[in-house]
Amino acid sequence: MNPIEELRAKAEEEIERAEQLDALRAVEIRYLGKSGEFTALLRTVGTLSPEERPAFGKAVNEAKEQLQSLVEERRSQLELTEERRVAERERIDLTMPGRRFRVGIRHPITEAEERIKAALIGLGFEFFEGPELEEAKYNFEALNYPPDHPAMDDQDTFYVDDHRLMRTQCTAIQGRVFEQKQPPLRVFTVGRCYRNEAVDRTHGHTFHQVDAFMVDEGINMAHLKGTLRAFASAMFGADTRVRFRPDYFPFVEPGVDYSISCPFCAGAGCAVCKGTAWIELGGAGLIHPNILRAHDIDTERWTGWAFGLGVERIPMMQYQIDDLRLFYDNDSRFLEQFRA
Amino acid sequence: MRLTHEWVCEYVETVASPQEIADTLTMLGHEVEAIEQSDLGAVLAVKVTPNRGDCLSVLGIARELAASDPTRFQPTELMREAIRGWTLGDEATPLSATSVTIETPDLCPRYAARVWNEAPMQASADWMQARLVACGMRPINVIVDTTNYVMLELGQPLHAFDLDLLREERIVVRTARPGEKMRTLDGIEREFSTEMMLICDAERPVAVAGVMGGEETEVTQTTKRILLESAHFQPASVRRTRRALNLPTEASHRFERHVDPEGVVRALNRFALLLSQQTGVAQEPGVCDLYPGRSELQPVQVREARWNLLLGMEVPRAAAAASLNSIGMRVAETEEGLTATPPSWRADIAIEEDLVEEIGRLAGYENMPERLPEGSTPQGGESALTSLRTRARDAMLRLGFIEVVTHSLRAPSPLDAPCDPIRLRNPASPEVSVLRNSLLPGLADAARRQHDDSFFLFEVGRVFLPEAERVCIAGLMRGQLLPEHWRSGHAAEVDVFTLKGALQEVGARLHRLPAFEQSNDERFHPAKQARVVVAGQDVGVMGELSRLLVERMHLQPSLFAFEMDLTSLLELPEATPRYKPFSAFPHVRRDIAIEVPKDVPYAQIERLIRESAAGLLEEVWLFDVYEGKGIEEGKHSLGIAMTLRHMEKTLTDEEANEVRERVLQALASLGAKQR
Repeated sequence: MNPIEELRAKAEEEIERAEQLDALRAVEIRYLGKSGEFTALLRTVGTLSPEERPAFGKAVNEAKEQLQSLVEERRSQLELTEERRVAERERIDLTMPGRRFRVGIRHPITEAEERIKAALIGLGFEFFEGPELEEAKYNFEALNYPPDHPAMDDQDTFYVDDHRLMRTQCTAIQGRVFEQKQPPLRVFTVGRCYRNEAVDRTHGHTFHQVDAFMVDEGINMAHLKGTLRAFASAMFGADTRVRFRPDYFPFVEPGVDYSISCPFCAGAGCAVCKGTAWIELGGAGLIHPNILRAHDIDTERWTGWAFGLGVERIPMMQYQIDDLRLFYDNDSRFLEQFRA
Repeated sequence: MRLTHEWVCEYVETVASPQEIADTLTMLGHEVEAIEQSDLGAVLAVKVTPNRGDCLSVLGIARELAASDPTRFQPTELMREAIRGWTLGDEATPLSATSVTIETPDLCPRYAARVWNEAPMQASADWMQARLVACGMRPINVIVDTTNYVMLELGQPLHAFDLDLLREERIVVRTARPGEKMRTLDGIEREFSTEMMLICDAERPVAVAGVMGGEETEVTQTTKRILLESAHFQPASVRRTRRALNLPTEASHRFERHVDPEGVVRALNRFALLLSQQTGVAQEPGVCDLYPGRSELQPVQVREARWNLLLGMEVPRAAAAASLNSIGMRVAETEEGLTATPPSWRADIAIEEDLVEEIGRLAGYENMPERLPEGSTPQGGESALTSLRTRARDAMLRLGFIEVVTHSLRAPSPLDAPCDPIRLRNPASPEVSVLRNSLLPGLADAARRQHDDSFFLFEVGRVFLPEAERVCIAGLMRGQLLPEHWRSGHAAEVDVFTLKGALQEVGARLHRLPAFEQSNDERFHPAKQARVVVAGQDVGVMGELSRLLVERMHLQPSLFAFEMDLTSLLELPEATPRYKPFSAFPHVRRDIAIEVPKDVPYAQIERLIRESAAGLLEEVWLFDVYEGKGIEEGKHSLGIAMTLRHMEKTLTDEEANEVRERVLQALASLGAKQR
């Protein structure tokens, strides 16, 4: 064996035997350092004939390079082992609880309102706000309620004085909109309504309502149904269907109430739809011509529809909440269930 | 209204089950809310809409069923008899036993009566009692039961008087005289106002028209002769009287919703037949029938193009005509469509759209197509106020506040804003009696429902001030900044500066930075409160809630609250952010420690620093406040940090020190000494 190969084999063996980073460093210095054994070997080149010298020099350098890469390789191995050893001492119990942040939570009514807004704004509707303490005329007369009509019995009203009341329905914005804007119109509101009713699980003196309406040329019941279908799909899923049933509200003619196919059981019948596969959502219809004419809107040219629904119904279905009062109690054990 | 299934089947022959009948009625617009069981089988609880008084009877419901599908629901002989009116042959004979005067024909268009000279006082037949019980009525005696039975069957309320107790044995229909009183059947003495319509005898009231009879002339065990009233009263008048007296009855419910004026004598005849069938007693021949307010319902035009347009589906003219005809209309064809004269029981049909609804309803809405509106699409979107509200809410949510929704109708509270709240004229209870003028009382209620000592709550909502409604945002907080955790134990406690920081964040989000100025609001700690001011205008209040008040309200101590008026804020200029270029060179930090009299406001110090270090000052912040040992009484030591940076070069230490000296010199004017 020639002296280069002999030295290389020896160094290689020591590199592999080094178990610590500093031991490896020592081996590296001893063989590959400036005054290491390979440098010493290179100095013996003077004893060789001039013809042999280039080959000898080349062989020494090749051996050094090879060993250097072996050192690097071994060093990475040892570093990894060392890191693992140290890390093991830092092992923690990740079953211990994570830090708790203060996280803002939207009230479930707000969450529903925002989804409704997004759906209706997406359909080209403009948000409009009217007062909650409303003039009596906008709540009733402007909505075609005849004086002393039993339709008002559903709407036991809180009055402040002879002319002002707590609006019983968000439809009260209609008259205000017609006073300010001309058709074509697509308008909606979401807000509080009030009725002087006994409070129980499903009735409150306060509730939130959506009211949307549009007026344009040639608008009809099929457009109402189509828009409700689009709205219901946005709120409850693409497969949601809409069903009409005749109903009566003084401000629409024809009047209907509408139901959606139950999004929770796909028609199989469940607790939410009480086994009927349909969920009644609200009232709708074509805006009564008396209302349009009262604002000098030509009913031969312009027609419109309106629909309404209760906001609380949506989180009640979605989260299976069975008591309306929970929304206004604001118990932390209730609110913290919804990370909305 | 509750009706037995078997009774309905006496009017229409059908193989339909109670459930199928319920579904048919529901799809016709008469929602069957429940199918109950009784001794007579299924009972349908039908919700009749207020425009369809004609459906408050077996006859009315049967008419609707027959119109919806005449092959499935075939009218029986009894129904045909009902439609013919059970004519007894003596209708044209005037009744000699009594006389009727109508002083108010506009309020009482028709009044008819029959008389029995021997009143059988016995129980009604078992079958009649069974039906009344199943429909939710209590049997009393054959006279009262038969009036109730006819009302359920035909929708016409009847009232029986003891004829011997009517002075001069006659009836006068008139409005009440001032101060007139009567004891009604429920035993309550009632005083009437002069617009109320009464049924009177020669001297005094004997019934409230369309609402309830009087106790004195009631039919009793000793009654010998009876007068049976069947009338048509003006709906709105009955409603006003019923409401004023707070006396809802089965009769008033029907009269308010319009009772068929042409069915008045029919009901008298039906009563006579049923009474004679049960007791063998016959009526005196003749009817007293006054009909001064006879009015024909006017024919209504409906254009084919119009119903096709409004319904969004094609209904052939012949089908539309057949539909209208099936609900009792006299229909004639015109060039453009149809003319229909409504039957006497359909006073709700007055305009073209009413007929369109009937055509659509009978064609069935299930066949209606769905289309999205075409044509011009206006720009949708939020209003400016809603958008501001959403941004304010987002800011609070980012800060970790939990949103609550509290009642706007509530009891007055010590936390109300310092102005009288608007009161309800008809409060539901003391707890539901005023309109909130602040969100703070509701937040305090919510605070009581928190199950942790620490909470961050907020609400966005309307408050009602005497002059206007405003949208406000308010927050209430207490306890630890962060929830307790095993790594760090208790975190810092919330204080007024936490509140201020939160408001500054909200202000930044709304692009309207608030200032905080001295205030004097009794709801807050006298020395830890401020007015929130934007662009020189008051927009809110903030501070620690008054400890005394908190104690009196039994709330947890150390509560920090704010309320801000977003409606006002909207009117104030918005400082929309503009990009400012920043330097690529490193900054230099210089700290100063000064001893300064405590009555020098920090804001003044900071302002002076900003002025004197202008140009190079990037940020300035207070990092330490110390008083006590080593500091003169009445003074405190402030540690203030500044970062300095040049736009175009790296600052040298000398340049930075120079700024620091300049700042210290300027601060000397406030009595500040470097420590």
